[in-house]
Amino acid sequence: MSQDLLTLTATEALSKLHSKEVSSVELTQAHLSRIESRKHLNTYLTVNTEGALSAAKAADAAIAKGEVATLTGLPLGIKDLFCTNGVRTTAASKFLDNFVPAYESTVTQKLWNAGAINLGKLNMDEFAMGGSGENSGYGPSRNPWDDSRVPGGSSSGSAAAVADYQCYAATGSDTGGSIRQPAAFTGLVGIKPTYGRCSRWGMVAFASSLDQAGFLTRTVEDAALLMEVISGHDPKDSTSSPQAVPAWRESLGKLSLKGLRIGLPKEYFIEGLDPKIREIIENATRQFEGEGAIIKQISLPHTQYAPAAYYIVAPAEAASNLARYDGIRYGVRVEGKNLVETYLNSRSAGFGAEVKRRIMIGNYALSSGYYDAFYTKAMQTRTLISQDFDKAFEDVDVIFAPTAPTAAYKIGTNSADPIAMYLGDAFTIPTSLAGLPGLSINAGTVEDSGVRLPVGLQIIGPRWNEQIILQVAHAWEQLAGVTQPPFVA
Amino acid sequence: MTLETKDIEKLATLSRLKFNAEQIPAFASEFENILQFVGQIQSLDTKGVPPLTTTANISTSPERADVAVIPANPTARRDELLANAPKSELGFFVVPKIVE
Repeated sequence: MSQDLLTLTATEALSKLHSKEVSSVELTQAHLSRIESRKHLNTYLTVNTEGALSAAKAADAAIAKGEVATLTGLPLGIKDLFCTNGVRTTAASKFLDNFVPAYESTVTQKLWNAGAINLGKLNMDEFAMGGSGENSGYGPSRNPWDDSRVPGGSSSGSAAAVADYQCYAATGSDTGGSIRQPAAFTGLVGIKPTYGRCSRWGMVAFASSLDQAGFLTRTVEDAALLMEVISGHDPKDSTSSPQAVPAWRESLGKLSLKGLRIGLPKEYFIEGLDPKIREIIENATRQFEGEGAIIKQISLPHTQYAPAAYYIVAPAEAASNLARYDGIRYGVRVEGKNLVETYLNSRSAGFGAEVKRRIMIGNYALSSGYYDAFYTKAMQTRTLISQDFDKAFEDVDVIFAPTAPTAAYKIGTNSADPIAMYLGDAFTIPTSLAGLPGLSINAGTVEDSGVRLPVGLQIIGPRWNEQIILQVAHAWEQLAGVTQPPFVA
Repeated sequence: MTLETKDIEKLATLSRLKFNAEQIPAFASEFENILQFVGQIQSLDTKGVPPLTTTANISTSPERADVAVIPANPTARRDELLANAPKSELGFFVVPKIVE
């Protein structure tokens, strides 16, 4: 019974809720029990038990009165970098272990305004810095497909929780691949919209010119529905765009694949790519071709420089953003004999190794002797990468690529080698630097040491055209069938 | 590129971080590897290429009115914000002595 409720899609759950077939309290209870029984996956950092149940009761009362909003009664999980008023928000950093925001992020506020229920706050790499979840101050989340493996990162708890049926969908944030790569590692749909599509207000900042909110879901329809709710201009974030938000969900199924031009960038099909993953992506492409799509080999010539540029730009912005953690206004405080020593003690005690490493790299790249050679050069490289995409989109409608060079790996594989970890984002970083929308969808599975593991197909679209990547992903679900992660009782 | 202990220490202090003496050699070698990795972009010809700081169209962004928002109950709001402070007194953040 409970399994039947948990394995619904968000869209199905809403239709059962709003036709009064099930109550929000039932759905919320089912998820809270599931979370309790699956603690070993370490997905939630804070479970919002009382808040969720009281919101579910209120949702049921509203439904009884016929007051139904888009998401009324739907239980969701929230990545722990969205500030939630009165609910602890740590960004998985020990520095913020006791931080309880006195305000709500715009993205989560929009979800609550639409009637959604907050089940709790999800694990992640500390301050979203990482690609496996292992940089969390609270221990790694585990991949439900094989719990000795990582679920990807930085939205590690979001991916593991959605794939393990501990919520219908979860917010994520993507700076260099933090939604798409974990979606690929757990067989989910993960969408990062165009930079500026969602408000960043109330999201714990990592790299402000790259950070974007998005969703991890089990179907494309759920992703379209939820992205419509959180998108749009916010007066509190001047980088959020006044661009109209299209009716994405309604647009699904309305794209003809005949004549659709799909670009395959040769720079993504390189030596470091697992050949089994290459085969799956090429197979997916052939299926689109069979439906009348036109496959074009394209070149994005500056791709190889993207990780290097990103690992200057993102740490530089992070070094500035994380200067706010002073141990005075909130967070950890370890007293020293004067103010500077208090800063040094507090920050050294509160931050994990990767966060310290990135602050150091960022400040190095921004320091007077190296500013032009590193920071300016990285931003110029960013221009070239962005221009590569502009040029490519003159000839193609969407770009297909692998989301990640490997499937989910064992916990500990890359944790001692920062550069190996950085290269795990090589295929998602270029889209982020260019500010373009990208989506990962399950394209098949590979076998590794006797375990079946999902592989992500990355679909990249032109600026502001989330619609086409959602439509193409939806078409893939029709062609291949929707693959759901296995339900482990 | 060779970084000396004193370079790392200086950068750490500017970053308001500190590393134990025994942590520094390992950190320095890791840091050098990362600098070498990100230094790949040095080989790229970027003459005349403008830097891209953001992909947002800042010039057409709507701006909010530049006015302070006064909460309905300023004292209560102040106390809510101070509730996260490790140390506060009489409605203020407490900081270590900064004037000798």
